[in-house]
Amino acid sequence: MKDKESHDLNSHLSTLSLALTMIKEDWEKNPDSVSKVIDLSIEKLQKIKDLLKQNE
Amino acid sequence: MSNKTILLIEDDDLTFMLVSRLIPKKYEVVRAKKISEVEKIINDKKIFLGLVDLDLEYALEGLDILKILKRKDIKSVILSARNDKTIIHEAFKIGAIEFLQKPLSEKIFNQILIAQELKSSKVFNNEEELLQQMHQAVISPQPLLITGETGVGKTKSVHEFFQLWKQVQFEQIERPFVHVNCSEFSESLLESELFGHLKGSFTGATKDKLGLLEVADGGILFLDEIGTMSLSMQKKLLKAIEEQCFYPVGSEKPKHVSFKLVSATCESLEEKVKNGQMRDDFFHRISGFRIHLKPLRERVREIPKFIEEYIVKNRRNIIVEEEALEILKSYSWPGNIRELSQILDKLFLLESRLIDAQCVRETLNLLAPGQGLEKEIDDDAYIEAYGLVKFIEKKEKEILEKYLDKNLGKIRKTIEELKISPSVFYRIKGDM
Repeated sequence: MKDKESHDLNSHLSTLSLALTMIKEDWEKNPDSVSKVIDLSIEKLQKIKDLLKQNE
Repeated sequence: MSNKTILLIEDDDLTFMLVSRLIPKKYEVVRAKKISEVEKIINDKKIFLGLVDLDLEYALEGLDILKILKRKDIKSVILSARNDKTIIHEAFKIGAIEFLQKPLSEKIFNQILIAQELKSSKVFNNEEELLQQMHQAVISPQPLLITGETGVGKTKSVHEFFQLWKQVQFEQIERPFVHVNCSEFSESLLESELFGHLKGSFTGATKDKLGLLEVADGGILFLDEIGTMSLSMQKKLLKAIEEQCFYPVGSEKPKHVSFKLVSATCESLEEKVKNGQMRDDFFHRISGFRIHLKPLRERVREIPKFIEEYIVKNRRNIIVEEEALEILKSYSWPGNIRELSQILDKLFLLESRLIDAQCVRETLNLLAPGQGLEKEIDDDAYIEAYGLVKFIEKKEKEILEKYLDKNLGKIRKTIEELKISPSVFYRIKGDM
């Protein structure tokens, strides 16, 4: 894996890690934000998938 | 509601949303995605802190943004999932004050914000260097050791440290502050005080006693005069500090504790290690973060501030003339701030509220025989000014100080010679 890819992957994963915490903590008190974070997390996962494709 | 604004430079929507969520509500958060937006915002708004994501699409743009913030004297914190030491090093060279590795911890994030708030406070302007060290000690996980000559204000500094430390704790709950003067206890008594004991564990243990280590759980354990602690006690305490666990005397059930250890001494602990009076491992364990309080003779510029504080505390005013102030500044102050306080006590008793050079020379006993004002502040004048209770308190303090000086600050010896109990000792000592 190239440096740039490795960095991008780490960046996406760390953001997703924070997103998962937020989803768990705000599930009841802030469902609208949770929904938005889920949508954005899906986009992030897609970026990870793109990285994977590039790496193949 | 604070009017402070945090500029979050982040081009990714999800990261922006998640990082914003970690910032306490009292701050206004504004977002910039690129350099041109940063420039516009910092020209329009006063920014308290910049949070710069180094994982922007173009990482080098993040470094340029740091330079722009630095030019405007805006403190910046880097957020990054990167482990590229070259870029991080470069960021620190430019002037970033902190580097936060992603994923971010809310606790660390809060500590940095609070520390930044404290740094921007104007309260301690005259002691900037000390305050900066205090802030670093507050966020450091290491135990704090405060050193300095007798009378420099170590205990006062520990109390100030406690106030700062409380503010950066994640949970704002009541935190204990436990002050133990190690020189006050014999070895076995100190062990019993710190670790506690079970009823019947030794002769005289008529009931269970809670150890001070346990009382300090969640707060601060302040070990004063730590240089007087015996080697075997150091070994026991070292184990308790490292394992965050100890056994009360006579008990086989461990107690788990977590506290911030703060120690103070007027002795050279390095010398004690060299002479075999202190364990090397214990010394290094307790001195992870060190603050040395300079003697007053090296901080003479602060004397006017101390006088000002004294005036505020005593709610009485005096004017110290320029020449008198110069004499105070050139004096060697062997007793440090404690001695300055005593001198001010004496100056306050003079009839004149205008303190001139002559008054100061006389009070400091710097006059040649026969040059004095021939005007002693006698006991009757004191009683007339302050009443009998204050007079007795003053006399008690004077006697205590005399014996403490004679015994080189050794509390246990002073207590024995004066035939008083430790509680009486501390009542008289107060914040002396």
